[in-house]
Amino acid sequence: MSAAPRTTAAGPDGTAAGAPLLRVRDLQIELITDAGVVRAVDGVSFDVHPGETVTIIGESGSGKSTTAMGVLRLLPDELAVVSGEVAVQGRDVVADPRAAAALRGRAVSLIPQDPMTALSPVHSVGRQLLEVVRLRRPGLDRAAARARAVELLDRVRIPEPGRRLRAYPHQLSGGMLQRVLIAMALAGEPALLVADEPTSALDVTVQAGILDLLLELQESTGVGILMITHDLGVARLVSDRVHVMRNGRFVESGEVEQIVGAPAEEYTRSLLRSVPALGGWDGAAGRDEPARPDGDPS
Amino acid sequence: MSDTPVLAAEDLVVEFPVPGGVFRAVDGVGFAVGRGRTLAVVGESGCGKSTLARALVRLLTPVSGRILLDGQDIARLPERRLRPLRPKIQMVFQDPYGSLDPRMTAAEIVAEPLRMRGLASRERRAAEAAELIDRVGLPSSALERRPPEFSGGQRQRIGIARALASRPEVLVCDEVTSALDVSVQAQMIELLREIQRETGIAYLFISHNLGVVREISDEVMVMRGGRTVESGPTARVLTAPGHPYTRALRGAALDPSAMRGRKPRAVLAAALAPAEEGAAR
Repeated sequence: MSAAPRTTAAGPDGTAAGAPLLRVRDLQIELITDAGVVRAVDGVSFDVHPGETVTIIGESGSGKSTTAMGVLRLLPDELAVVSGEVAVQGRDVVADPRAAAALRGRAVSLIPQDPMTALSPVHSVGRQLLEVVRLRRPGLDRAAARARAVELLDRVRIPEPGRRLRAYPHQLSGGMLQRVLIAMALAGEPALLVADEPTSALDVTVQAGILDLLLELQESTGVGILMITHDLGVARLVSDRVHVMRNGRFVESGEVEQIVGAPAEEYTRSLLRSVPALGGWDGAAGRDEPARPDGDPS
Repeated sequence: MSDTPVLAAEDLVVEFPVPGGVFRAVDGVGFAVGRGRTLAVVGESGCGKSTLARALVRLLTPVSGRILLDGQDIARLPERRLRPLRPKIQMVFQDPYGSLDPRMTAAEIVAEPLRMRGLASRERRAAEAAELIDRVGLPSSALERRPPEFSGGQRQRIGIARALASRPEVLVCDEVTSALDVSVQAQMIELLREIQRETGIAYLFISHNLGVVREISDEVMVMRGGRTVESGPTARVLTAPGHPYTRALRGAALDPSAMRGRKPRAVLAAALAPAEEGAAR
């Protein structure tokens, strides 16, 4: 309750000046379930500016994924009632659902949670990637579209991209499939990526490669990222700002260093305490070694 | 006798038939766990850790090697001779949604092994089931409810109560916290530690989460491709891992409190070099 929505989101380095890519105000989402109407998202407000990553962190049932799906207007109208304001590059997708359809896959793309089920198993990776390439650039002929697809697979560091186009999803590992899905998201040349638990189905060493790729893409293209995760380690690594979500509301919002290093709310502190500490090790890079900056004896 | 490890494996091999031959999922693994101790088995998908777990509780039969339970080799014992030994080694499964019969009440689920143990009196079984449900921190109102009415963490507690009903000496825990929220995971670790302090039970704790492993285990064994790449005291392996793969795993474990600065991509460096080399395997 204490967290006032930020109305100005300029980062400390000043990169976030100007209009946000994504502006969300008092978003409410009611889901129609067998058990009645559930208010899954209960009045959240946030912005994402170019070049920054804003993370919504929460446990299961907090409403974090529903927020992401609501922002993309991917919730079916007969199952979800969305109200409030969601402006993507200034266009309100709540007031105008057709704007959402026009922006999705172009201004904004989704990186889904489970790469193993997100692709069609009966079509090759290339066919599915070419489909989104052609949607974005209908003028491309077959060879140019294929070249663009190879370029995208190369961009997400898939080795032998030309050969991989012929592969079917079951022939690729989870990490490779997630790279393909990131390539498909990039095919739309989006200004904003919405990443819904993009690494939670992956092994940790594979997760490291995907997170490194997302960080590098953002450094080189300035894409804004709305990250949804339950993992405080992931949130600490990739975020500029963090919103801690519980029961449909933001419990606490702030710069990542503040949320992880000096959380104001008891709920945030309890989440951080629940993460098993790993302590230091002899291969630690780019971090001075950790006295756990806890200060909370309980 | 007290010096005998409660559970040990020697040169254990488990294979599966595949088209055109066999796939060796566990390839010459050995370890020993003492009473009241916890050995963690760490690795990523496909490393053989769950197959190892299933072989240890003899849901699978190894092709060779020994499994010493209290010094007795059970690796290839026929079911008839294995049955009286089964209560000594029990398992808690990864998936709290798929490992409990949805039509049985919690009390029935926990009482079933009591009947197997020879508790003939229905009243005695009900009383002991209630005690076990209480022991794992569930309210008595849980007794007459069925699995679909419970959360993932509560179901995992029922799975633990069911396993404890046999009064095992060893509990094999296969990724028992990985489907749980982080706050529920912390409670589960605390519960397992309490039970160990009280009963002297030994754990073989399978996990991919090094933070959880650090909290619960005395020793750790790192597996990859069916083999052990490194093993030793948990504190040593996590602070100074020797094998490049262990170092990649350690580097990939993201501890929020250990990071400094904004978007510290360099943190991933230790995870990336060896991991990508390994991914080409």
